[in-house]
Amino acid sequence: MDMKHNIRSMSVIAHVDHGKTTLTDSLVQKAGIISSKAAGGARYTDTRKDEAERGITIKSTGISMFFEYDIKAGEVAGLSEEEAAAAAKAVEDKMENDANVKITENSYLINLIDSPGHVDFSSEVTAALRVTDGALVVVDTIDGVCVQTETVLRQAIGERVKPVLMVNKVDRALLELQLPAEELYQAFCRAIESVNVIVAMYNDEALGDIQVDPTKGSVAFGSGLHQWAFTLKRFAKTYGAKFNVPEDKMMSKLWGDWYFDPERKVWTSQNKGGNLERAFCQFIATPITTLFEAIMNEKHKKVEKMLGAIGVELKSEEKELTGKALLKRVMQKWLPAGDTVLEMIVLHLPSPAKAQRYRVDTLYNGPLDDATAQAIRTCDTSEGAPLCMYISKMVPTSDKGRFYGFGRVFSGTIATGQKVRILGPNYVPGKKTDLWVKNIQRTVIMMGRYTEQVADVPAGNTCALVGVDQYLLKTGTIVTEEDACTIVSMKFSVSPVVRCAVEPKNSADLPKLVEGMKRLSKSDPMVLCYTEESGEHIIAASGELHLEICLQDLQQDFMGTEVKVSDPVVSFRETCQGKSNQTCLAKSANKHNRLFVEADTIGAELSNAIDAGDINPGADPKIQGRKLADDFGWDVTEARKIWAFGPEGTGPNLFVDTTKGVNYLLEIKESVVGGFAWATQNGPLCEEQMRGTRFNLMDVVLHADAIHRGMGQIMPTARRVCFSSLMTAEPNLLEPVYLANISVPQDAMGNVYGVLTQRRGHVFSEEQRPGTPQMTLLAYLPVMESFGFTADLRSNTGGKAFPQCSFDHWEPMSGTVYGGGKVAETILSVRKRKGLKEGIPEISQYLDKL
Amino acid sequence: MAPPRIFFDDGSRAMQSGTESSVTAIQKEASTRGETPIETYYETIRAAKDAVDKLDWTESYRAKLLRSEDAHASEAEADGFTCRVALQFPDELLSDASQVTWLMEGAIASAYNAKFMRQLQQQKKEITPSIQQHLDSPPLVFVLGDSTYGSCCPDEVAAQHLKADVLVHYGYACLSGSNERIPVVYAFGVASADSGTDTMFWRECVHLVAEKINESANVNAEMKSLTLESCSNDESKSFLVLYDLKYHHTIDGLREQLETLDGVASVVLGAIPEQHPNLASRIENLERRCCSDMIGCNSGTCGGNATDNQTPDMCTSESCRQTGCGSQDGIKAASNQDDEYDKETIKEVDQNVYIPRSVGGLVIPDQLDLSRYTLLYIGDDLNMNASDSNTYHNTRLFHILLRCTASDGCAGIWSYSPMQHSLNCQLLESPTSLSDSITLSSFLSRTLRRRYFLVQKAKIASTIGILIGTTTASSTFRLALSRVRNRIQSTGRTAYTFAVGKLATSSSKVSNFAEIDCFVLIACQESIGKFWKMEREEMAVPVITPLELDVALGLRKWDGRYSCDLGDLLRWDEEDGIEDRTSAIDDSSKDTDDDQPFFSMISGKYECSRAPKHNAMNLQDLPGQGQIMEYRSEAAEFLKQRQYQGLDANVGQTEAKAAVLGKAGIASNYGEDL
Repeated sequence: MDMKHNIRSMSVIAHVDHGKTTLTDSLVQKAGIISSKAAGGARYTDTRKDEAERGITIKSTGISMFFEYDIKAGEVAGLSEEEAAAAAKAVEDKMENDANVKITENSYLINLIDSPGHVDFSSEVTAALRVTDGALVVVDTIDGVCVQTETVLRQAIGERVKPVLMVNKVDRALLELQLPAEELYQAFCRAIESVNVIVAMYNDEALGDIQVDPTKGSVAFGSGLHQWAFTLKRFAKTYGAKFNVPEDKMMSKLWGDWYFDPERKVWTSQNKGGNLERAFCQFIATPITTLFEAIMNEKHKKVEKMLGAIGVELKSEEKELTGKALLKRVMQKWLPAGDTVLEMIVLHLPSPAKAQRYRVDTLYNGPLDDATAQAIRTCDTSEGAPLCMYISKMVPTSDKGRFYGFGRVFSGTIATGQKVRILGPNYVPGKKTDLWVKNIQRTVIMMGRYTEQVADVPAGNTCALVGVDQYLLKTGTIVTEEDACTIVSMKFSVSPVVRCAVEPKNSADLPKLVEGMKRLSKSDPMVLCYTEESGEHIIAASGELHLEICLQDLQQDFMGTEVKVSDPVVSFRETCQGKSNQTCLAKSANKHNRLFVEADTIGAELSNAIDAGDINPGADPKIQGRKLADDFGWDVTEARKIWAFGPEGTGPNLFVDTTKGVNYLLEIKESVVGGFAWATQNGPLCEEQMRGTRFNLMDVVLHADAIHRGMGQIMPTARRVCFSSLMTAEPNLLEPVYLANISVPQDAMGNVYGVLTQRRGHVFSEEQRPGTPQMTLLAYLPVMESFGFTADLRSNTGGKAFPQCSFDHWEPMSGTVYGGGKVAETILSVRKRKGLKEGIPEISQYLDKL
Repeated sequence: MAPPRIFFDDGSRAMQSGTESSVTAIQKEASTRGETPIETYYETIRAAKDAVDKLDWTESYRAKLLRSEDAHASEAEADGFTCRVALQFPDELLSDASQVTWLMEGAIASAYNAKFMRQLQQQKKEITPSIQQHLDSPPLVFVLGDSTYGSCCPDEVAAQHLKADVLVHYGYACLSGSNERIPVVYAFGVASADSGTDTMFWRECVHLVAEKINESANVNAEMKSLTLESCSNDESKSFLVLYDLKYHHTIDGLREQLETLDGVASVVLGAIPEQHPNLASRIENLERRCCSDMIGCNSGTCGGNATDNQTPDMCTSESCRQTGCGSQDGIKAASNQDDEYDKETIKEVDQNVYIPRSVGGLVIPDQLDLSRYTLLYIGDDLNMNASDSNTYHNTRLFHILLRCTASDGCAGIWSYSPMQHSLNCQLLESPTSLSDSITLSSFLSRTLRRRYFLVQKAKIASTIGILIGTTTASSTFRLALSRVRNRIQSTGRTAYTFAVGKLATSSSKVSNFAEIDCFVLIACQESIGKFWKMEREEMAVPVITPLELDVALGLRKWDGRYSCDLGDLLRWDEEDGIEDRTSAIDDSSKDTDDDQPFFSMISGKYECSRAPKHNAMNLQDLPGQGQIMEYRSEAAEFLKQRQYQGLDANVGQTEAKAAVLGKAGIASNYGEDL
């Protein structure tokens, strides 16, 4: 643990159902934590009951393991069964007494995080990637690279996490599809190529060459279920000895267009006669397929002979096994997955010391030459090095309501009892907000289902802290230096667009509900819990499944009582699509002040730029003005006079002062901005937030006495004038739209179209996956219509279609607010739900006459 | 006889001309009163008699008149009136005001004379000329103008300013009046003409109730036969009868009939609060202290009164304190009342003040266990046209329901409508008119949800405004006010008191104070209910009730009990020992992590309470030994954050001019206009 070069922190990422958790089992088994018999079906890292029941991972789970490997010998330091057990014990003993185990330079500590594959939980993946340096990308041989594979891979590269590839489920290809050797090779090739295409697309130069390449050993093939896997290196070693060729040369021969001509006994890159078998097939695939065939067809003699050839000895009771059980045992012994994959991890994934050199630039918020940044760069574990740890998620403890703060130590050593500065995500250097100076209560190491208490944890490791959950909601940074800044907050690829309102059965339980929602909010990096103006308690999640899990957690674990749950609801945005047809006027309550405002749309692009922070309220008005003028066609002088962003001071609505020479204007700015913020937070149509609108202040008439133009007069007036100007500028609602990625066999495509049309969705891209009848459809689907979509699609296609939805953009709804259509309907239903006055408000309510 | 000279202490003038001619203009709009004759509706005879009874007969000049013949020296005689009676009308009844005034004048005169003569006879005195002259002079009956707050509260302050001996309050009332400063006579208005026959009137109701009881008794019997268990207690029902005030005059008839029914164990009737005779004088003392820091923003009548009672030395000390806090526009807000002093007064009052227990303003017995009673509400407008969906339009019923559906509320809620002659036993399940799908109970829970939201919002407040919404100077009100301020300050927050007149227009006034994060509204239930209707539209900061404040400050748990009634609040305080807890918090705050953030449901994030740490510090321990201390003002710090900090002085750029004499007087009456 103290040897930072011998640490590998990695996460397992992949599309849903590609076998991450199962593969992780085989690695865990290697460390002796679960028996080799149970491995493959134990799902060790699925710690929750519902995870086991549903067979999907919901929360990412960390686990730390020891692995003995001698890089120079290139050999797994022969770990027999007993030794593995000893190593496992060592992991535990180590925590208590370092002297017990001999830690050599050949001992590697693997901090592994198993992540969920379902798109609804991709925030968990983000959190996992943040604290690891490498990623084991798992790809199903048959399915190939899927949409979620791409998403997580992109995220990994964005986080500067280096990938290695595991082509999984080879057993399925062999047993179910009975692929011949050459086709197997082609399938492998496709998977590798697609991964490399994605890697190339999002390539980050700082990472160096991160293409995966079988000939370098950064690709493994195998089966997580049967617990076997191999890299070319493994075979190259055997055959290298046989052919008397150096190992690395042999590796390159075993992949691609290389053939061995047995007659001439030479290697050739041309298959002239067409009768030569590709070296990969000849030397690797064929032996495996033959062995499979022999075992499955119960050709005992042949099996025995082959076992002899590959040097696998079975114990007597194991000889009794037949069929798949035997196959599993034989393959486990021949090509143990744990060894292969761990070897690949150790060889090809960077140590923290190596990784943090290039990761620090994207990780650290502060100046890159301060003490903390330097320490992160070198992964400084020396005594007195500045501490920096990032808490990426909260893990529930057995103590109800308390959480471990799980994260990664980037520099220094974190120890129990140490006095540290806890920085929340809103911490600003030099200020006191979101800052606490506290002692660390306890440090523990996560071992899947268990935790181990340790005295201290040096940089490069993942660990969990007790007690920081009081100060941090979801994430945070823990440092020791006074001037240290926070670690960059995580950016999620999904956003919480599916919401529902919960209500206790008895209003006396309200505080209980709030407490439960607080816990829920902590336990998940993505979920949002808040109360609306109407007092409705809202839980917002990234998808239907996510919401379901959250509600279940809330009721069973965090609250302990049942709650009333509303139907899922969607949040909308109020907007305008044109320019106000008149200059709107509002008078203050005392009739002495007048504000003249026109609304206009700013377009989706600018809204997105504001969301992304490219255009933000803190920027220098001159530079930003230039940018607005160049990129969005604004008038430069106007662009410099943006008074405010809203809602919450950062949202995608702008208030622009276009007046000239108005007396006392500066004096009312704050009041006007206050009214604007209020208006953008709760729009006039149905009290939803506004988006993509711009309010131009045209003229202002003010009373000469300061007392008559105070905040009480101006603020409500500004709010009303924002309302009326929005309502005269082709008001509309924006609804969130999913990008649905549906993989479906060609024959069931018609049904998919049917379901989509029913739900106002439309397909805009259709692609066939090479070599399969599987089609990939890309479609836009309004979130409002997506509830029950998955189930509907399954039932309509006989379970053949697999949709995956993630939020894509906001889209204006059809119809007009006053003319009826979908918009008007929606507004009315939202108003009803919120208990607002029925009917769409009239403009005259907000518009004053001169 | 010379026309009577009338003195008012606030410069008001009496309208003397044109009143008679305007009589013809009445009668256009008699919607509230309906077809009921004026004498009946306004109960002039009864009201006059009550008013005369409530006159001070003991020590005043009347007694003197009786005792001695030398009445000339009496100051009252100079007035030329036997007594002064103020009438208060709500806006919708104002059209009847002049007629009622004439009727009352006559009624009071005769009632007064009758009583006077009776007293004379008792003391066996002769009618002397001076007495005769006294008897000949009329009583002064006048109508109060625009009331400072809601028309439901008796405007005791205005009446006192006008030196009224008794106040007659007409129409809908919240019953939160104290009767402490001035006797108040209520006349709610009589609902129907045939009220003379109480028995007939309630027969239908009693009949329906009896039917229902039989029905449930039958069900119970069935249950019993099925389960073979004795559920004996449910055999007889107890009723708590609350009612729309317009049935007050006849409600006793209902009780009598209900009590005779089979299966009715007991009937408790909500009563109109009465004055507690010996309270007034004791309160007087307290009132000086409590009111002294309630300084109004409006230049109207209410603010001035409070300062009347101030002793000079208090004035100076108060104004000294105020200099630090005065932040804006000459409006002063006082805080930092001497803590110890306040606590002392509270204790003093705690021991002495009797706070009647009431539901919806109607007094019920103290020891009544609500959960054993079934609420029977008599009233008509249960579910009728509510135009606004944020509050229920019938505020009294709304508050009664809020109180009685709570965890310690009533066993059942029935309602009877005398107009429709219908009994409804599933009131909570019946749809409100807002929307057919929303039942009354879901409407109530929606209201509570919104209240809880505001409580959450108020949690991060560090500067809290106390918004006065009533002129009632009842002890309950004053006690609540000083407690609220105490609690705000003892949890390290700053409190300012605001009195800005009518709540309907207060939003634009109080939102001038951007530094206030949250307001606590101290008002009668009616006003609170009305305020809730507009609050969401108009107020940018949360406005909460004292009960909610306690929850926001963490002194009380949100436990399902809810009441806007200040009396309930004070009673619960005693039951739960909140007062002890406040002091406990002071002690324990030093050891615990008080900077720990809390989860705010508003943002869904952790928030820090912005309350500054408030420790009683020993100046000698400070580095400077208390010699020079940095003055820290919330208001000043807030001002620093604001963009606009006041007009530019433009020193040297503007031409200097000599000061000239400005206008003098009040807004309605600048000197030069006369």
